[in-house]
Amino acid sequence: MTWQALWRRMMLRNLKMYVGYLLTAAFAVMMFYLFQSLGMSLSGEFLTYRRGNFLLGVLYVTQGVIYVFAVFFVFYFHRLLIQAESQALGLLATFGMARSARRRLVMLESGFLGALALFFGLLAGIVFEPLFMLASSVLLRLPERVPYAFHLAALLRTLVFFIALFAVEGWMAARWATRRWPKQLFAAGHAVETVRRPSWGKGLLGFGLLGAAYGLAAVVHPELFRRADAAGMMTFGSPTFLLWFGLMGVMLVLAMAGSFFVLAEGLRLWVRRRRSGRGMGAATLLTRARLSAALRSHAGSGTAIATLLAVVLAATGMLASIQMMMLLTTVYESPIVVQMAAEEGDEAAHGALDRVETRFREALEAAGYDLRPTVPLRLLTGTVPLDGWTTADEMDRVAGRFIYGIDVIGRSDYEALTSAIEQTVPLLNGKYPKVPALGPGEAFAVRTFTDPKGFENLPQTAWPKQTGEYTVRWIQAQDVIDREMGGDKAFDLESVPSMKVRLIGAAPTPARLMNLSRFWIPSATVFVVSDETFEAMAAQADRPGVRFEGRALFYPRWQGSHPLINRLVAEVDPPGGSVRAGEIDVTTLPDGYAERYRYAGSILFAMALVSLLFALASGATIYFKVRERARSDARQISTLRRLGANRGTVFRAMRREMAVYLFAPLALALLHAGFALTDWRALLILTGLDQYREAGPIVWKAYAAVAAVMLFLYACFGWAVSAGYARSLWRKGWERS
Amino acid sequence: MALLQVEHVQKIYQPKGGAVHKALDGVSFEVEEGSFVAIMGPSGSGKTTLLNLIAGLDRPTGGSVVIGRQRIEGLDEDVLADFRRKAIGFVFQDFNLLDPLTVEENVILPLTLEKKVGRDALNRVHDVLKRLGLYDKRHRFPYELSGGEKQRVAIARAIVHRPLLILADEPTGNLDSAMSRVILETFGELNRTMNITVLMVTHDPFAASYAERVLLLKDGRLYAELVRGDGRTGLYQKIIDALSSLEGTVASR
Ligand SMILES: Nc1ncnc2c1ncn2[C@@H]1O[C@H](COP(=O)(O)OP(=O)(O)O)[C@@H](O)[C@H]1O
Ligand SMILES: [Mg+2]
Repeated sequence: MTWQALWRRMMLRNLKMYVGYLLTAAFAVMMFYLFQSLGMSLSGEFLTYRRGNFLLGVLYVTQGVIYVFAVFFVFYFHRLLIQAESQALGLLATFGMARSARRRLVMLESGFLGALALFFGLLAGIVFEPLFMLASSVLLRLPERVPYAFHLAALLRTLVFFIALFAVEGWMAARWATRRWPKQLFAAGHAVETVRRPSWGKGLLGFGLLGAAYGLAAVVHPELFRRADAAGMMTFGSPTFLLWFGLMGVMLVLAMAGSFFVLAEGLRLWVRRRRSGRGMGAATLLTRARLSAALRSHAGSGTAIATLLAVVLAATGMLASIQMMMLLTTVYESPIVVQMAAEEGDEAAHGALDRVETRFREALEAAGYDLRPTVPLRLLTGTVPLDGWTTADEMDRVAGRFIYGIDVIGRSDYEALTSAIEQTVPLLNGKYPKVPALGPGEAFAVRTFTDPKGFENLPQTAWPKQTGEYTVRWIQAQDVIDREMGGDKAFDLESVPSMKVRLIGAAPTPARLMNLSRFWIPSATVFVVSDETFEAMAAQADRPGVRFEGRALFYPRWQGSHPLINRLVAEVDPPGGSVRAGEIDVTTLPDGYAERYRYAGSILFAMALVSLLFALASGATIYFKVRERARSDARQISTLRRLGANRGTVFRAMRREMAVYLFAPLALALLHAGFALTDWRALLILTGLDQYREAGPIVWKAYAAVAAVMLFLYACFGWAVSAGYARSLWRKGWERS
Repeated sequence: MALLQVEHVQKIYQPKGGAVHKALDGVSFEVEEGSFVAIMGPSGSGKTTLLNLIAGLDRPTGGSVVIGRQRIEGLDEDVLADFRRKAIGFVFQDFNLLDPLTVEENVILPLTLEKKVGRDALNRVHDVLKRLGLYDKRHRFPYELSGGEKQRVAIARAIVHRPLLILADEPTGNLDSAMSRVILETFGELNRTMNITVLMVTHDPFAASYAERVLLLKDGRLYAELVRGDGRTGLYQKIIDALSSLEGTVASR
């Protein structure tokens, strides 16, 4: 028999202590491998679709997160394991084991655990790879399945990274173990159980530090940005910018230090608080005593867990808000599910519109989509002069900033279009203004792509919103070119047909009214006029490049239709397509939506896996921390039994204790992330990214969703572990007495 | 020649941000080969510290320790470890058994640190376990043993490699009186039959009375030395007398 054999036996019999570490490390290995492999599968021939690089970016960032996490976790947790073994190491040293042998022992152990984690992680990675690829394809809404392929390079990279990590870590742990005297090793083994009176000073310091961090995040940091930005000092790399950026690090440090003191001292103050008058149950007494002894030793891991969870929560909120803003922007920019358009008066195009519409309807209906009646699109593009525009000056200002492009649409077309949009695109429900009754020659201006606040602030010179009389001129592109280029034809403004309208009101909508098209760039302002007025205007505006017609198709559940839509669009667009239709243009919402959705999906997919990894790590840490005390716990419980404590009391106490271990870090994480997101929201608004102020509620919704998931996971985990642990201690306590 | 010579040993603790604390303040004594010496003193008087320094588990602040002809302080840790492996057996106050290992495995552990461990080593372990009445329980785990049995396992572990010197730190501190008696008699018997030198630390006069010689330690200094004349009860009485005079000095201060 050799001491190596004895040590192996010890590890085997103590397997429960290593399980959390092994599981989490193996999971990290698996994720690392899978993301490497997915990256390689995607970066090959597969990623030919537009902007697919975004996906790769997300994958690389995720890999980076796993890198950092793996380093942190392996170092932190293995140190815990070594500390738990320090009694054995101290004994071996006492019996005369040489330092070199101890070093070898610790390194061997580290290598053995690392090899196990690597083996099972890679095995799981290779086994789950096809499933992972399938899940990625579905969740990311990729146009096709990611082909399954074995990537030797991914395997090698994973091996190299983790072998290096375990080797360096083992070497460091060995240094730790050999640089200590036996007495110090014994001390490291059970220094945790010393009960000290909690310190008011440190407890209050903890709350103070947290308050400072939160105050910085909620008030000082955004305010600094606002002031510096207003003063034009917020350029990248400027001292103010660096100060602003550095403050983030300060907040992080403050929050972490505050968490530590709150967990180590503040919570114990609370646990030990006196309740005069009322009596105290045995379970309460027990929980208090145990918690006040153990909380200090949990404070370090609690802080680490709170930080990890806060990072996941805050990152999810941030990414969700960005993604939702992008998704909203997509929908705002292309509100029509399928829009086909041509210039009015082009007979060939008109016929082609009919053919394309029929082709789309039939294909979509065959695929099971329930198409609503087609909404006809009829549109005139004109200009209005803004206030102060007199005929004398018009010549000079035609192409300048004092005329304003507008679109004109008939009232019943407007209503049919907006109601169809609102009914099929949930995000746009209720977003379009209602138009009041319109008499002949009257118009109502709808300012598109504008938030209500921006609408308030816009000056009249920037666009026509003041009620009153405007002259609408049907200027065509050629007119402008002639004038600008000094072409052969002199531009004669009087020859441009025009009509006077009276604006009776104006209102904003965050969305556009129509998709961007090859034929018209939608003007920010749409004049809605009565149907009769529209007919009169259309007759007058009978010039090339002024009147457009089109069709708008709507159907529920359009979100999933993009592969079919892509195929149909391809039939129209490329040369030789079967429905080649000349001068018509098809734009669709599902296409852009799917792309945005893919981005959001890839981020959320990655975040979900990362948070699973983090949750596993924090669960493993807590489980280990609790298990570490199993011996003294069993002793305590057997004492309590002799004093007459019953099963219910012990179980209740254990459950409460576990609840504190699990939920105290989570509560801190929720607070940290809440304040971080407050800061983030302020930043979004200040930078103008969140111009519609929609990110706020979205941030909080994402935050609430992730928090709810975490709470649920924690509750399940805590319940299972505390019940199982209490039961095993109960049995042990029996055996001992 | 004395097996153990302790000369002016001093140990100063200075906890982070705390006051300097002299745990040992110039302690000197000798232990002859084959003797059974007890060091007595109230809790906190520096007994454990002294034992740790003798075993080389910790570094003294001053003074020297010589075991055999080997000077302990200033030795390289590896040489010290090697020395401990060959010359010293250590019995801890809190047993310090490894929970995941069985009785037999716990006892054989020190032997495995030598190069080769085979059948004869196992036989030796069995001999020792038989001698201590633990042979039938050799496959049990520590949590399946009583406190006295655990301490006997610890003793078996301390003598299995036939050390020159056994250092025992309050071996009866956690035991009831019946069990203490068994342990102390075991030490006495090992001392007599195997000629193992025993240095035992205790705060219990009854336990100390099993020794041939008792050193009284107080506030880090040797206070008195008592020698067993004509039997255990005589020594016991001497210890009690010395202790009451010790308390007298405390009271008169
Ligand atoms: N690591 C340490 N740091 C500071 N003081 C210590 C340390 N270890 C022991 N002491 C102090 O030294 C004194 C002697 O301790 P110890 O040798 O354990 O006493 P005994 O074993 O006689 O009860 C005690 O007052 C104790 O508080
Ligand atoms: Mg002691």
